[in-house]
Amino acid sequence: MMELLALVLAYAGFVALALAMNRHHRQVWNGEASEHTRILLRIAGAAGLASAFALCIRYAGWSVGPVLMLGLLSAAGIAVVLLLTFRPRIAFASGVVAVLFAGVMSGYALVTNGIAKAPILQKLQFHHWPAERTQPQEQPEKVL
Amino acid sequence: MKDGFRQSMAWLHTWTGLLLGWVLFFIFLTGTAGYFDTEIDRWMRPEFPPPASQVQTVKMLERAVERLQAKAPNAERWRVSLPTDHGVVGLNVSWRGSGHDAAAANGSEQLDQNSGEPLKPRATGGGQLLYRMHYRLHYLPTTISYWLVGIAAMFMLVAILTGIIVHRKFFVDFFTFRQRKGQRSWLDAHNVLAVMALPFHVMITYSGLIFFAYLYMAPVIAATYGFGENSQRLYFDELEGRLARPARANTQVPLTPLAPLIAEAEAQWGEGRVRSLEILYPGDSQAQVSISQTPSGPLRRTATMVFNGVSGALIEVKPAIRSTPKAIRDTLLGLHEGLFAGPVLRWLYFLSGSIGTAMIATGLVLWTVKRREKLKRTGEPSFGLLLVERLNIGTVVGLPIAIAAYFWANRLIPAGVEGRAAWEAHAMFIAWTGMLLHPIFRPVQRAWIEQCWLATAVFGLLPMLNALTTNRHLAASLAQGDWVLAGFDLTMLAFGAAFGCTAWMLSRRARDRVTRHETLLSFAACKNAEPAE
Amino acid sequence: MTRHATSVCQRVSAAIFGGYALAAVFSTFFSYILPTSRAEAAMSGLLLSFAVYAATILCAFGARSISRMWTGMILLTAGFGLLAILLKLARGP
Repeated sequence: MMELLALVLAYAGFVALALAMNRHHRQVWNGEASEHTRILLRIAGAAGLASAFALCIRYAGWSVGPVLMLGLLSAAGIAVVLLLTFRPRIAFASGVVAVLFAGVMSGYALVTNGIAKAPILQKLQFHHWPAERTQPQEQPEKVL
Repeated sequence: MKDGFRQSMAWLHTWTGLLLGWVLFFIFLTGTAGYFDTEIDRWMRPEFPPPASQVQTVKMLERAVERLQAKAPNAERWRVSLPTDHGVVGLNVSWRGSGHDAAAANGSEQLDQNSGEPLKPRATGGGQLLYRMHYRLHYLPTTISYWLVGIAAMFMLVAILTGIIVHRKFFVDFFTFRQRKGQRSWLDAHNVLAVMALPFHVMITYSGLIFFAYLYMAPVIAATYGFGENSQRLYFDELEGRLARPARANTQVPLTPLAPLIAEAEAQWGEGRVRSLEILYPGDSQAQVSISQTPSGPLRRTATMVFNGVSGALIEVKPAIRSTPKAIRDTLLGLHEGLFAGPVLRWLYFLSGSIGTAMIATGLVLWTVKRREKLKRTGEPSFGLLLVERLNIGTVVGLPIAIAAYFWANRLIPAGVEGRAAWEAHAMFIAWTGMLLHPIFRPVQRAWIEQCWLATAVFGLLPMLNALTTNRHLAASLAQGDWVLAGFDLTMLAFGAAFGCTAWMLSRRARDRVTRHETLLSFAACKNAEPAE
Repeated sequence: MTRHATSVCQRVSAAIFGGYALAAVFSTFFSYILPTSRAEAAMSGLLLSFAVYAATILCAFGARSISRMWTGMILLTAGFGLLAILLKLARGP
């Protein structure tokens, strides 16, 4: 489940970054983005990717986490390219849905595991670093 | 050479990519399939029992050692590999002899996890053979294969580096794919596939070279250790720290009970985290038991506990990282193999490999499209262009068909046939040869469409063949929650669907082209007819 | 042969053979200067060698003039080779 959450965040991040580019902005809305919108979209995109990365590191550790992140980026990137090619109009909406979905998943984690175990709070605890997890694959099940 | 650095790099990119492009396609496709080697193994041995529901490590090891005791009591070394590692199918035991008839005294067996009885499945190369083909090829001698694959990998490395240099708009075109624009679309697809998995492409290529670096760059080792097989063995022994090995005492002493040793290792690493067990000089008073941990990350060398084989006392714990350069190498190799990957990451590996395969395919097609577009103005295609076009069809669609033929052969060749496993592979290469020959006799456009339809059929019907020849059909495996077998059948259906879509799209486009052509012709005919009226 | 073909032939052979020689010689030199154990040093040399090889191939095709390319490649290979031999001699058999 953690991987799905990270994938969704990476996807939303890539959508935002794509929409910050004039070519793709035009595909979705008519006309070019203002400087202001572009910066906002870039920040949103960076935030999406950064939170996906933090999640990967938090749950898979520093040895597997980056590998997982790169794999998820490839998947999300291809998905965004396909979307912009075949259904550009719904690109922004799909990004919003992705963020909402991520929010619901995190909320679910909050409710079922208590606030302290929520991924958003736990991922900040970098004092685990760089300790290896003994059972990285089983970790996500417990939390999400 | 040509004027300008970028132009020379573009030239280099084109030719390094093209020259061994088909070999690289073969390597990437079989290697990508190899990420699911054990899953394919299971599908190709349907008579295997489904994986045991969590047999205890100790029980499995004790059964394995019993079997080894019966099979090879005087061996120099025993090895037991547990199915905790992705590269291992079932419970494996192997033994190595010593002295003059060492080769004769080597052997291995696959055991039932529950009973410890040796398994006798149909003879098949399985997923392992498919996976091995990506670096060992087939039919060729080992060393020649390694060299060929190494040269191809070096071409790939150069193609990747020049590709990055040549790609003008790395970030601007990051998400760009412009469809139905001929050459432009192929270039976009090639770029997107390259960029989206660039770290994977670089990693897989460089680490692929590192696997056989000792062979490709033998002079570097020879400069320190001298030439010859023995000096290379010395180098590996030094690197792995294998020099301090006790000598055999030749006094019969029973082996220490293994359960406490496993318990000690599992207490240290966690339950089910033992990957393998090695016993040096079993039954001798100098016996040693080494227990290795399952890797939890890309570093494929893991910690090992060495015990005295008689008293059971812990002699030493060898850490996973014993030296930096070796750790870098082990990490690169571990990243390449991806044995540490759980189901999700495994699929991502498979996806990245597929992206790489598709990148090579689009590059090969792009080469022909570019030249066809030029030809629109200046007539006759060259022999080279015709050849590349045909090789592309026979490889890009033909090789997947050949792999499907390998799976078909697995179900269709009767169990008792002499050389059954070899004939599975023959079927694959016969099918590939057929697919390479077929485009010679057909127009290019038609050949693409026909092979795509054939691929649709062979992949789409594979689950049906499975249902007809075994009792492990899709519905049964879904009902049992056997996701390995169900996953295989579903993936084959997905491939069939993908090829079907491609075939349908291609034939629709071909028809459009014909209709447009006919409309133009009739229009011209009308115009010509008019004055006569 | 046309001038273009000669140029391509020279660069291809320089890249494949010259590049291999330079990569092997440089990696050997590199493994000699490392202070680690000799097995680790040789491993480091192997790890680096393909990067050197690839870089040399790019240079062989990217260089403006063929004569400059040959001079550079031969000088570098000979230089590192000489240094490696001296190091080997200084360290003894």
